[in-house]
Amino acid sequence: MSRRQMLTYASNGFGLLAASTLMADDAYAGLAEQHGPHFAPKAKNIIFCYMPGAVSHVDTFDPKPKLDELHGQNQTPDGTRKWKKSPWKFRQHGQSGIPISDVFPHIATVADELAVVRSMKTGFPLHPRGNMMMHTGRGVGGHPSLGSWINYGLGSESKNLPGYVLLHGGTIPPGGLESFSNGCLPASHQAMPVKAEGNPIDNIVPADKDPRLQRAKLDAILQQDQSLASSLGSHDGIESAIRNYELAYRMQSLVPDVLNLDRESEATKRLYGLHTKNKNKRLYSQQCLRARRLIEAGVRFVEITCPDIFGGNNGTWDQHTELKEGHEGNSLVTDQGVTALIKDLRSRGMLDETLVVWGTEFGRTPHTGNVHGRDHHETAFSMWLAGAGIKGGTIHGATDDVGMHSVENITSVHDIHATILHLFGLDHERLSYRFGGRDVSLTDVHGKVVQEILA
Amino acid sequence: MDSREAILQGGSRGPALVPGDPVASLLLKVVRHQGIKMPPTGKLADNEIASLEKWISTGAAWPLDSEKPLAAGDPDYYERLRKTHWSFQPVRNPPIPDVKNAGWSSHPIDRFLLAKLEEAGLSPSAPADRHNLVRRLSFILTGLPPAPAEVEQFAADESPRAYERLVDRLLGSPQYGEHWARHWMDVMRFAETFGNDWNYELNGAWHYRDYLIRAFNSDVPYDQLVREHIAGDLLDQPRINTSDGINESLAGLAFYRLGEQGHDDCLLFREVRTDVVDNQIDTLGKAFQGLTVACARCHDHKLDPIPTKDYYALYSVLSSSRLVTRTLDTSAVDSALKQQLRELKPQIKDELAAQWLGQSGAVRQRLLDAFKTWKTQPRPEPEDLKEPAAESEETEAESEKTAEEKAAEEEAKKPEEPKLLFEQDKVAMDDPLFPWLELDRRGGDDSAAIQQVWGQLSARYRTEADARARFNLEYFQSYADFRGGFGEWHAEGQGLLEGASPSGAFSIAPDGPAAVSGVFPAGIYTHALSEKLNGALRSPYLPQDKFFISLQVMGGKLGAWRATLDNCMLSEDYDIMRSPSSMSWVRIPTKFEKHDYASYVEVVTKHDNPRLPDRPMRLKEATPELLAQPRSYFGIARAVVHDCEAVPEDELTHMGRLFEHSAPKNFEELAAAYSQMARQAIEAWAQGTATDDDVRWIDWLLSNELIPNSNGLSGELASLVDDYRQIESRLTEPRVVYGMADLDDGFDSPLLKRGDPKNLGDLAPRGFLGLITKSDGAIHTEKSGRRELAEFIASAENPLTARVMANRIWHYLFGRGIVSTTDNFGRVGEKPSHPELLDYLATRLTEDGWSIRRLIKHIVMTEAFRQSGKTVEEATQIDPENRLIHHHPTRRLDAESIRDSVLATSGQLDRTLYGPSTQPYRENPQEYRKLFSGPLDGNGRRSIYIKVTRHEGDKFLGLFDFPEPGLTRGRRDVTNVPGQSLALLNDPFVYEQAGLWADRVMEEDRTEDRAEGSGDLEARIAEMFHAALGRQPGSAEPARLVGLVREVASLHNVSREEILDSHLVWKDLAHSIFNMKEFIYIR
Repeated sequence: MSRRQMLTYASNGFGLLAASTLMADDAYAGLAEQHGPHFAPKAKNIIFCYMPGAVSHVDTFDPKPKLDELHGQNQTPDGTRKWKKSPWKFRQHGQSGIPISDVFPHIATVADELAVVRSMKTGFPLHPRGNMMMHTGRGVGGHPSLGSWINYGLGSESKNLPGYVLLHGGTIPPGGLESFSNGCLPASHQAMPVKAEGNPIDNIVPADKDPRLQRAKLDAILQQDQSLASSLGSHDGIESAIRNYELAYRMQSLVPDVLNLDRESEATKRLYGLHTKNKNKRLYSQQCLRARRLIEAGVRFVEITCPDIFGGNNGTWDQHTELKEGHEGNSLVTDQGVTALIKDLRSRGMLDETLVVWGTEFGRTPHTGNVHGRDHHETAFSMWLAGAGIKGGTIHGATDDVGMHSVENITSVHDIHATILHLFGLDHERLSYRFGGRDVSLTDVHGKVVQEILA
Repeated sequence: MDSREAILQGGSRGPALVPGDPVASLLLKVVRHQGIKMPPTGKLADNEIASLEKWISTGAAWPLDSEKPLAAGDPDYYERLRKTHWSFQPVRNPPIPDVKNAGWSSHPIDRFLLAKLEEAGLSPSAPADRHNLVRRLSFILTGLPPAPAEVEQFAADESPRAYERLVDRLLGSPQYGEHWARHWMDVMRFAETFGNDWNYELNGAWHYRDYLIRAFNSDVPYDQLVREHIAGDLLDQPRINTSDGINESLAGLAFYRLGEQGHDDCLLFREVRTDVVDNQIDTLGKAFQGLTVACARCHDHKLDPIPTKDYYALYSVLSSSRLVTRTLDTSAVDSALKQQLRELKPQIKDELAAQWLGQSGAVRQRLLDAFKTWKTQPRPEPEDLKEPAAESEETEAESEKTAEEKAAEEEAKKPEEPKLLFEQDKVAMDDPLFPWLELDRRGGDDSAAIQQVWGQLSARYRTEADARARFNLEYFQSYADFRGGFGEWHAEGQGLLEGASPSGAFSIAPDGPAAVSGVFPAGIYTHALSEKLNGALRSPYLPQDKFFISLQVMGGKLGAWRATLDNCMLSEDYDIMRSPSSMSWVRIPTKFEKHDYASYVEVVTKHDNPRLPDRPMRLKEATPELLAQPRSYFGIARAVVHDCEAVPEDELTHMGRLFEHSAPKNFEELAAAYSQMARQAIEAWAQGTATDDDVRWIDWLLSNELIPNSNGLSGELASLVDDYRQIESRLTEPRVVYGMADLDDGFDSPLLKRGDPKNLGDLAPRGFLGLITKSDGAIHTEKSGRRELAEFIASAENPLTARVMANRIWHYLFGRGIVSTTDNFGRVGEKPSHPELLDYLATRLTEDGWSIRRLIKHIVMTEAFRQSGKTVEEATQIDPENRLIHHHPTRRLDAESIRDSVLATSGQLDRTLYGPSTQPYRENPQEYRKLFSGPLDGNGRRSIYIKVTRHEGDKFLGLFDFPEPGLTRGRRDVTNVPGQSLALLNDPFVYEQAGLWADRVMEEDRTEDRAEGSGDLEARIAEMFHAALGRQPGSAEPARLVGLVREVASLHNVSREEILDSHLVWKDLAHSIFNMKEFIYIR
């Protein structure tokens, strides 16, 4: 059997076990209908630090001195809404002098690694839709997630792990698992959720104590399944389920190993803040460190979401009231872990091929109806990128003087998606999948690469 | 480019075109790529550009009705949508199309499908093989695999009616109702806890589930189900289930209550309330109409013609009704038993009264004896009489005590043995003993002094009685007097059927040596017949001008009062009654001064209290034992409203009668007077003429054991009480479910601007969607308007109701709806793949009496349903999603069917129908959030009986896409993740069931005739294979499976001879079969 035949065979979902023994290196990688790369990639992996609930831009990365002047004045004629200044000071950091507010004292220390995009804009001021937009390029469920697209485009590096892992703190951001779905892409490209606490993945411990026993059963099951699949012509669900068995089999041994932090040095643990007594912070930091280990093990796309501290149903950053307490509390939990990740990757030489993206679904209003909070705002918000292929120390785009609207170099979610794909050597206009008679893509007819933030 | 106006006005570069002048038109330059290039990816074809040029040169005509820009809320735009969007148009019964291959099938549905296939140049697949077909049909109709014998019977039945018989048998099985009820529960976001902070239990939600199972099994017409869900309490003729004694129609209302709900204060957190109604509107809109009505909460619907005012019209309808518990039991429940109790009760009373009368003479002597004993006893020192420590919140130290320590303390705290009559620490003026003690203290042995004090006391009692009466009159306004009945209050529950009881009411003690649990003043008592009967007595909406309402109540075993503000059903304002056998006043602040939301109070037995079980430490008295036992009760006499901080004083009239006696000269005479009072009271009680004053004397006599409360007073009494208790013990436990009630006139709520509960707009008159009513949507009625709402939706004229339901049925049968977005028929929903077929099905549904079962049968009788699941390459190229149904779609079983078929295959499935749910198995129960753990195998019950808990559901079911119970979910996700493989490989449930299956197979082989060949390896493998997959192993399978068994045996070091007796080997085979894809797929 030639390698080409094997790939064809494998891409139909059959012969996986056989393939894995014959071609020990890249059986899983060979499964995807490889699309790319279309050109030389800068990034090999990505860690997406996602801040659900909507982080306020004017309190974090987009200083607005004008709000200090307007503070307390009516924003609406009837005075039901008033302008609100930021409760935090902004300072310039690093050689680049990027202004970052005191909410993020740790992130401020890596300012020169960041390309801050201040001119973000999205379509939906609602959490579920905002989350789905940021992940799938659509405001409704059922479309493939960015992580699925990258894995579909490049294949997984790891034969033993899914290419897309979601590290969460116990709750899934509003919009649910649809934000992390493979949509119309093969199901093997959907995210595997890994909990911060307890058994990270259910049923990871084999019921068959003797591995030979499980192997024998799996071989027979596979043969049965293959004949079922061929009797049906073609069926993506069954073929994916067959692949999942192989994946599941390997995960049993590898996943606990990758997620185990015991062999990390004390210094590393300290860097991530794992010694903290704050449980939420400890769990978040642990997920950050796990993210690095997963990347090392060949997972292409790792997303980390926040523990649910203030969120209820809407995500932990959703501070309609108690902005100060809420944002500070969330920062306390996430700031050090995110920063440690950048420093750790840098010191291991991994940052050059790992992209770190920090983002949220939309921004918050520069004005308020209740003094203490800010509301949903889709026409201006900030996010940042660092690492592989990114020009550190950059500020891209601008909002107006009160942070109401992005006005300069307006950057859509599709633009960010196009840029991320570009860093992976994927052309967002060419990375498509034929489904239901048309070519589906992440950015649809939108999106352009934000060249200005690229190194 | 949306409108002509916009084009003519243009942007920064001026108008996009100049009508009649192509050369000056920017549009043409752009498409010719002169300067700006559009489309950027490539030029349009020359002929397309030529068309544009021609259009501009002829004046750029624009369709007239589109001249205005499209905008949500624009009445013209909405009107246009109403007239054009497909699903808003009336259902038309379309002609059955002609097809080329008429020989394939004469079934109308097949004709519709075939016409489309032929249009696409495709043809249907060959029929499925019979083994496969029976398995497919069985899962789709009942959610369970067929028994092996049933498979073979069908496979061998060559009669042309064989398939139809199979369909009828499956549709007639009780498992059909279970499976299809569960489908509907997805649509209804069914859950059994409320979520939010504390995840309070949705008590009795399982009654709603059982109601659905019964409804599907008896094929209740869908329009009736709709009416019952929306207004089951308002139907002219409720649907009564006489065999269970249940008012079925009431149960449908539970749907309103299944959403998430917080317990917080509605005033402080207005969203708590508005979110509940929003979720009701969302569910109602999606479930019955396939419309996302709730999108119009903050702004006019962007896509569908649903203005915000329509949303708030519905809001006004739904918030006019109260969110209350509903008793499903009809008055016929246990009517014979209750009649026996009613007949026994006066007999017990007569016998008891006779015994007491016989002993009433002894009252005098008992009083004198007690008095003498007390006088001659040494008096206790005052410091021994300690006040009990004030009740305080449990401190941290307290909570750290061990259970044993606490138990010991509780033991120590128990009330001491009742003191002898005269030893009581303090006696109030109300207590008949008060005059006696005063006479003793101030009169002593001096008869003149006694007579003098008597006169003073008489005057003092008169003055005090007058003062109390005046006080009560001055400060309290009578609000309700239950001594004459319920008045304006609303009574629900079996315990309130007896109505008001006159003075001298009593209840039989349910156990123990006492005969009665008390003799009571006039009032209403839920335990007049039994403490097992429930009751909820609800005030009208309370007057807005008083700070307090006080209730004169008694109650025990968690009988409680509750105050509910603006329908916040988990209100923190409640307490249990702490006076188990005599009336006392409880004062309830109304907070009326701060708002004008409708508020009411209710007095409830524990069955009707949504706050029970409460969160830990909130109500210490509600011990698990007390919560688990079936009894609870309350009594109520009066309600007053007032502004003062006090509660009414008890009247003193009962003491007046004592002073009608001439002044006693000594305690002998005093005792005689008391004795006469006793006799008079008991006689009046015996004759049924007792007054509340008599009752107070009887109560005093009883509580001081001056007359004995014992069922051992006579053989006759003992036997009567015993009979009573025997009968009482057989009473059905109340069946109570959360629902709604229209107890008041309806009222309109204000529109909330931008959905903000603090931003009130104009009142929104009650009504339904103008889109459906084809008018302004107003419902003109004094009442809530729910009844009218139900009719709008349940009407055959409604363009959406039948279409949406017919499509749901199709979705469950074919795995995908004709409209794939089952819950959205609006403009963002997908268009129907077969619009005529959908209208045919909708027509059929309404014209066939809205029978769900008959429509299912009609559809599964098609050739299309009976096709093979094998795909054809050519068809897949043309129609990859199989929208045209060129083969039967192969699909994974739903979560419940996977779990249920594991149990069915292993032989562990318990097919019992109905009943309280079983907790899901959890490794980490969190009891403080009501996340308890149940048995790993769920006691073998079908998955529909596993409790659906918010916060965290059953994990195994969740992995296979059992929906989160938040919103309507007519179409489940079908994910495919390694976690599912891991579960089937490693989950202890699956592994355990594999072992049990192996045991069963081995046991059967032992008890059956192994000698005749069923004991050999191949036969056993084939038997197990068949049990799980509904077919015999074929071609390479027998050898493969024998190979597996032998390999596994060798790994277990089991010799060839021992294989048949090796549990481990067969467990491994069972486990392997559970893991075959064929086990979890139907094709």
